[in-house]
Formats: sequence, structure tokens, C-alpha cells
Amino acid sequence: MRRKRQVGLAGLFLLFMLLLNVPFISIPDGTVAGMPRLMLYLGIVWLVLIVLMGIIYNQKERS
Amino acid sequence: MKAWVIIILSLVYLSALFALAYFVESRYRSGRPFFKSRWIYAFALPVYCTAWTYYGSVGKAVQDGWEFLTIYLGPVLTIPLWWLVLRKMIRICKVQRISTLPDFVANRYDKSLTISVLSSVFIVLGIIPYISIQLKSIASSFQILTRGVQHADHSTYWIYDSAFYLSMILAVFIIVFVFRSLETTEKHRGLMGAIAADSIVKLFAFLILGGYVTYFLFDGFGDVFSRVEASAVGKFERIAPGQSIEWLVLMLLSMAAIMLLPRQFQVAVAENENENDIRTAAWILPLYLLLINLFVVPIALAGSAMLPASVDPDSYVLALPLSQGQTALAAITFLGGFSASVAMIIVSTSALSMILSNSLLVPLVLKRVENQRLYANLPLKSRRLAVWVILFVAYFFYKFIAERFPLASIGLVSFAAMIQFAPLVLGALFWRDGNRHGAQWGLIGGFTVWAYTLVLPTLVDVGLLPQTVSAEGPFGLSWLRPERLFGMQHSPIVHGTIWSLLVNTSLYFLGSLLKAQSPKERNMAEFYYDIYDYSAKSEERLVWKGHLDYDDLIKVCENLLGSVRTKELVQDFSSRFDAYRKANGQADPKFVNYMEQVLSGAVGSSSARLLISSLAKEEEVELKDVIQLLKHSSETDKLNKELKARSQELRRRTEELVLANDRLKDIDEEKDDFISTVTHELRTPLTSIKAFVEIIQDNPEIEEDERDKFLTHINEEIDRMTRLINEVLDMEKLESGSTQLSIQPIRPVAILEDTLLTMEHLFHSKGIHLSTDFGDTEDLRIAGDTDRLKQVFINVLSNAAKYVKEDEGRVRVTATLLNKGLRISIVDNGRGIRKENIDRIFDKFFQARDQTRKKQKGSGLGLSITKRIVELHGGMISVESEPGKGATFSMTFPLERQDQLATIEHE
Repeated sequence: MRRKRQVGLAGLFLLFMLLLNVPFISIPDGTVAGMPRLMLYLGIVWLVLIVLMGIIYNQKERS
Repeated sequence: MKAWVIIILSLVYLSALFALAYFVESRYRSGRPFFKSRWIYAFALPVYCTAWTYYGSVGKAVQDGWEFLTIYLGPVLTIPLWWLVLRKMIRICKVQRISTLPDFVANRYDKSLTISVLSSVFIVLGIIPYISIQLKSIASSFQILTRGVQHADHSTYWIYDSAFYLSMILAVFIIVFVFRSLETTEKHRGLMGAIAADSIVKLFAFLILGGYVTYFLFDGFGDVFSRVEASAVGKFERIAPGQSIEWLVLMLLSMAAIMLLPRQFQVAVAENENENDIRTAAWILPLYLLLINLFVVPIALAGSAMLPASVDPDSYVLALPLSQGQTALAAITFLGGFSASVAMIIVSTSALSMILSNSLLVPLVLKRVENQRLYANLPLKSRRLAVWVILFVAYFFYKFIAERFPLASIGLVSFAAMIQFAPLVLGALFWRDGNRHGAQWGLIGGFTVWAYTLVLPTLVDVGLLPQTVSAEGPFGLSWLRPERLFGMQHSPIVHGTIWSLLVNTSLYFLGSLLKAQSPKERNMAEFYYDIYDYSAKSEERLVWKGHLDYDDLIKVCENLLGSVRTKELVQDFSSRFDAYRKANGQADPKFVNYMEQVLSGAVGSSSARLLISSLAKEEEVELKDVIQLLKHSSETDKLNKELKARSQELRRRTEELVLANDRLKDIDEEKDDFISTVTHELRTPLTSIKAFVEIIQDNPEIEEDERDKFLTHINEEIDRMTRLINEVLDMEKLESGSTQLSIQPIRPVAILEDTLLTMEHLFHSKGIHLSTDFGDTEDLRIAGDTDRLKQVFINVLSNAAKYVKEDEGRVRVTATLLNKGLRISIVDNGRGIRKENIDRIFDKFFQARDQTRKKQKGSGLGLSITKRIVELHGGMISVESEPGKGATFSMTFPLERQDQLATIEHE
């Protein structure tokens, strides 16, 4: 994996570390459609991470 | 539910697991693996989810809301770093034949036996309680299913205790499937297959239960939240900023745990077959963790709402289906929890046994027994012994201590023990200057504080120490209270983690900065740091100095590994290096390094070091030796890189030469083709001329009209020949560059109009309808040669006139201003050009060589000359056509700037 992509992965780690910690995680409050907003927030961030990891780790490397 | 049903169910499950392990292993051995390693690897990693996840997550959710999720978010967050951290660990372990965490750490820090022993003791102390809670969960779930939630009793005599028998069965499984081979670096496909199957079973069991609770007992997620008391739901609506430290620390603990827990190290690092397997696991693991946590909150809320307050939240998973009379569902749920516990016990016990054997038992024997008297299979036997010891101690702990604590608290204490290795491991991977002293200080300091802040209060709770130690601090010193050290107020786990990690990291850096590294340690530090550069021929990259008799080394290896395996190893080495034995009977240093790595795989790195140093007369390695080796390595790398670059350059030039050669061949063929075509084109009129001349000569009395007719033919044929010769000469001049264009600022559209005027008669005579549209382009000027450009227009227009039908033909000439150029298009409605001929239309003599059509008047050089002239003007010509739909020839000429045109005009 190229260095550029490695730096990108380290950047993603920091981004998700931010998104899944206070203060970001304290922002969703109350409920929507009977469910806590926080639950939806966590689910969405988690899903985004899965998709990104799937794409980045499985990209074919150019020679 | 009847006890015998549960027992049979458990035995059937275990038998299926054994059978699967056997099947996977035998398929692999026969060279027909049933599953691809990347899938097995990806599904084995969720061994992270133990009974704690299965039962304890619900309990933690009831107690602390979303905080339970940090244990899974932490591992998910590490995934972007896997390529940087995990892959490097895998590579180091593969090259150095390392299979346990203490070996990984000790090997880097001067192969220190002290670090190896300390690490092993700390890990065993930290993890045995964790194994014991798995036994506890199995026993508890068995009790709940057979006696009901309210009557579960864990004080059963051991002979009636299901956990006891399970421990025995699992010990046999480990001995049969894991400790079958001497070399710990051998991959255990059967074990990995069984663990992956366990992961799938526990996930499905939990999803089935979650689905039942959410969609059968309630009407979906929204209904669960709306029908439960507000106080219970409130915990899940937000995370207060005050929880931030707790949240972050728990996340850090689990981030370390996913890679450093012995079972995770075993599965993720030691059992990894291919570094690329990480790519699949990178999305499977987070998806798995998301799914297994999907229904935790609904189950927690449903349990709070529907079960009596006296029911332990850790039991909700089983209590909910039982309370609804769903015994089959309860049995499925039990199997899920059972599989989670079984997988964890198997892998953790295997890993701990290896650790115990490599770092404690084998070194102990090696220190007491002479090398020559070492008997074969010593490591294997010590590992098997360690399995029984660990399971016995874990069972003892479960019986007498673990009973009193919830699942989550013991699990977190184990996590806090494992994070003590994080500074050492990260330092080993990314900091060359970390050394043995720092590692020892950090490890001792960190574990002392861990024991003081997290284990000591536990001993107080179970009554082994007086309450005053915890409440008032030792000797009445309140600032030393184990759970309020220096007055810090946090939950015990956060408090203990912060202090232990702080002390550990500080001492690690302090020791590394104050004390010097030994040259040999420096060598290994460089090796770990730059592992990707040192992977190939790693034996060359490590310095070893001393005298070791080759036969002695071989004898020890034969004793430990067997003579067959030793012979294989010598062959493997000799296939890669020239010499393994010096003329004086001494072993080559590279061979010593190689054998030490092999022995590390069997007895651990510290024991291997112990063996070699006891056999050899070792000399002190000096820093200059290491520097010289590194310099040599870097010079070799540099040379290799240069060689590679040159080889690539050579390959590139060879390819260019091949292309040039092909081009020359083409040109040669073109030349032959050209000569043959010209000859043919000249011979045809000559033959006609000769025939007419002979007729005239042989028939002197021929009539005047007839003679004139023949002479006209002769004249026409001579014209044809002259035209052909002129065009060939013209073409030759254009191609050789000997034609000098008379470049002047010219107005192409004016030249075009002039040309059309000249050809008006031709169009008129054939009844061709001519139309023009020049827009505002008449005054546009380009740098060009008026005569040559006129020649171009005549050629293209003549072609158009030639191929349209008489009286139906239409030719349209347009001029368009482009961004930086002028496009002139000549469109006709003639018979068009076939697709396969479009690319060849500008080839020399194409028309003459096109045997598919009736011969037209012309040499076949016109368009070729046209193209060349347009190109000499810096322009380009193209054609678009479809058979039966006419053709469009477009010529584009670059527009010069006015100042450039002025300069040309002046010249």
C-alpha cells in the first residue's frame, strides 16, 4: 500500500476518533421516530467506517 | 429444561466443532483447502467477543447505558491503523518465528529473559481471571436453563459442575489440535476453522434472540423505546460531556485489547497466513461487531421492563426467552453463549500455555539440564502440561473468586493488564531508541500500579485484605487509597488505567533515555523498525560473533526438533546461502542466526538465546559491527536498487529497439510495396502505349481519324505516367523534407473560394450541387503556402466530385472558427468509405491497392500528399464516413497570432 494511502488511513483513524468521542458524540440528543438520535448517529458513523475500510483496503494497487 | 438435554446439546456441539477442525485440517493437508484463509481469518478475529459480550454487554448496558459499546468501538477504530501496526507485527513474527506476545517484546528488547518472564507472569495473572469468567458463564447459563433464573446456585460440588468437565474436554481439544507440532509457528488451520465457526454460531444465536425480543415481544426498535420506563430509556438518549474520560479510556483499553490480548495476538498475528488477509478482515470485523451489538439495547430494555428486579442483568439473554416459555430459543441462545466461551477458552488457553512454556517452564529446564541431554519433545510436553495447569487454575479462580464479580468488571481488569504492553509494542515498532531498561522499568511500574489500583481492591472485596486498606489507604494514608490515588476520582477501571499507563509510559521513556542500548539490541531495534527492508535473508541482517561448533549445534537441534526436521532445515539454509559450516568445523554466523530463529519457533526467543549462548563461546558485539552491517545492508540495498533501475532501463531500451526494428521492417515492406505499386502503375500505360504504337507501325494505311484517336490515347497515357511520376517525386520531396514551403500570411478561405471557382466547370458538368458556408472566417489568416494549400483543396474536392453520382451529387464546403484554429470541411453524399478502410484512406496507393472497388482515375497518392501538406502547415486532416452516406473530410489549421504573422510577413 502506497505511503499516501497509509497517511490517509492514519488521517481516517483520527477523524473517526473525533467523531466517536466527546464533543461530537454528545451532540445527538433526544429521539427521532421513537429511537434515540444517538443510536442512529453511532450506526451511521459505524456503517460509513465499514464501507470506507472495505473500499480502501480492497482497492487494487496501481503498479 | 432437563439437564441431560443441555449436556447432550453441548456434547453434540463440541463433537461438531472437533469434526469441523479435523475436516478443515485434513482438507488443508491434502492440498484442497475448503475455505480460503482470508475468510477463516476474518471470522476467527471475533473470538474477541466472549461470554462477556454475549451476556455481559446486556448487563453493562442496563447499568451504564451506551458505555458497553466502547468495548467494540475501540477495535473498530483501530482498523485504519492495521496496515501500519498489525501488518508490521505479522511480518516481524513471521521472519523471527515468534508466536507469543512475551516473545515479541523480549526478542526486541535484547532477548531479555527477565522481560520474557515478567511479561509471561503478568499476562497469566491478568488473563486467568478472564478465562475463569467464561467457565462461570457456562456454569451459570447451565444452572439457569436447568433450575430457572431464580434458583441458580453456583456452589455445586465440582464433581457435579459442568464447567469442570468442559475444562477437561477443551484441554483434550487443545492438545489434539493445537499442540500437535513442535514448532509454534506452524499454522493451526483446524483450530482457526473451529473458531470461525464459533463466531458464526454466536452471532446467529444472538441475532435470533434479538430479533425475537425486538419484533415478537415488541413491534420493532421504536416500540421498545416507547414502551419502556423513561428512566431506563434516558441512559440511551445522550452521552453527557462528563462521561468523556470514561468513554475515551474504555475505548483505549479495547483498542489495545484487540491486538494484545493473548487470544487476539494468537489469531491476528501468529495464525495469520497471508498479510493480505487483513484486507477482508478490515470490513468483516467491524460489520460483525455492529451486528452482534445491534440488539443489545433492546434486550437490555426489554429485560428491565419484563423481568423481576432480582434477576441479574447478565442473565437477561437467557431469562427473557425462558420467561416467555420459549425453551427452544433459550437452548439456541445457550449454544451461542457456549460457543463464545468455548472459543475464548480454547484460544486463550493455547496462547497462555505457549507463553508459560516458552518463557517459564522451558528456560527453567534449560538452566538445569545439560544441552546434550535435552530430550526430544520437551517444549511440546511442557506446553501440554501448561494447558492442564492453566485450566485448573482458571477453574479454581472461578470456583472461589470470580463468583463475586460481574462479567464486565473482570474483563475490564484483564484489558487494563494488557494495555501495559502497548508502550513496549508501539516503541518496538516505531522507536529505535527504546531499550531493555526502559521496557523493564515500564513493565514493572505499570503492572505494580495495575495490581495496586485494580487487583488489591478486589482482594479487599473478597475478604482477603481488611476493608480499611481500601477505605482509608495503607497505614491510614488517604492519598494512597487504591481507588483514589492522589485524590483522583474516577471509576476504578478508569482510575487504574490512567495511573498504570502513566507510570508505565513515563518509566519506559525514562529508562530508554537514561540508559544505553547494547549494540546487539540496537541491531534488533533497527530490524524491527525497518522490517520490510530486512525481511529477505534476515539471517544476514543480524550480527553474531563467537565460536560455535557446528556438530554441537546440530546435536541440540536434533535433540529438540528431531533429525529429519534438522536435515530439512540445513537443506533449506544451504539452498539460500553458500556455507553453513566453516573449514575449522565452526558454524557460520548466518547459520547460527538461522538456527536461533528456528529454535525460537520451538522454545521461544529467550530460551533459544539461552541455548545458543550456553553452547557457544560468544564474543561481545560492538556497535561498529552493527553499524558496519547496517552500512553493508544499506549499501547492498542501494546496489540492488541501482541494479533494479538499470535492469528496468535495459528492458525499456530493449522494448524500444524491438519497436524500432518492427518499424524498420514495416518501412522496408512499405518500400517494397511502393516500388511494386509504382512499377505496376507505370507498366499499365506503357503497355497501352506500346500496343498503340505497334498498331500504328503495323498498319501504315490506317485512317487519319483512327490514327488521331490512337495518338490521343498515347498522349493520355503519357500524361498519366507524367502525373504519376510527378506525384511520386512530390511525395518523396515532402517525406524527405526537401520541399520548402513558401510560408506567408494567407487567407485559406479566399484560396478555397478561388479553388472552387476554378473547379466550377467540373462540378457543373457532372451536375453536382455545390453549397458553401464560410461564416465570418473569410478574413482569418494562417501562415501557409498558397499553392500547396490550393493543391490540398483541389485534391479533396476532386475526390468528392469523383465519388458522387452524376446529377445527384451534393458537395458542401464550410469553414468554422475554432478556439485556436480554423476548420474547413468538405462534405459529399457519395458512396462513402467502408469502416475498415477509414484508417487506411491516407496511405500511399491505397486506392490502387484497394482491390474491392472498381479502379478510379488517379494514382492513389493524392490523399497521402494532402495529409502531408496539411501536417506541414501544423494542421491535421481527418475523415468521417459511413458506406452509402457520403464522407466528410475536415482539415484544421492553427491560427497564428497577429504579431507572429507580422513577423512572417516581414521576413
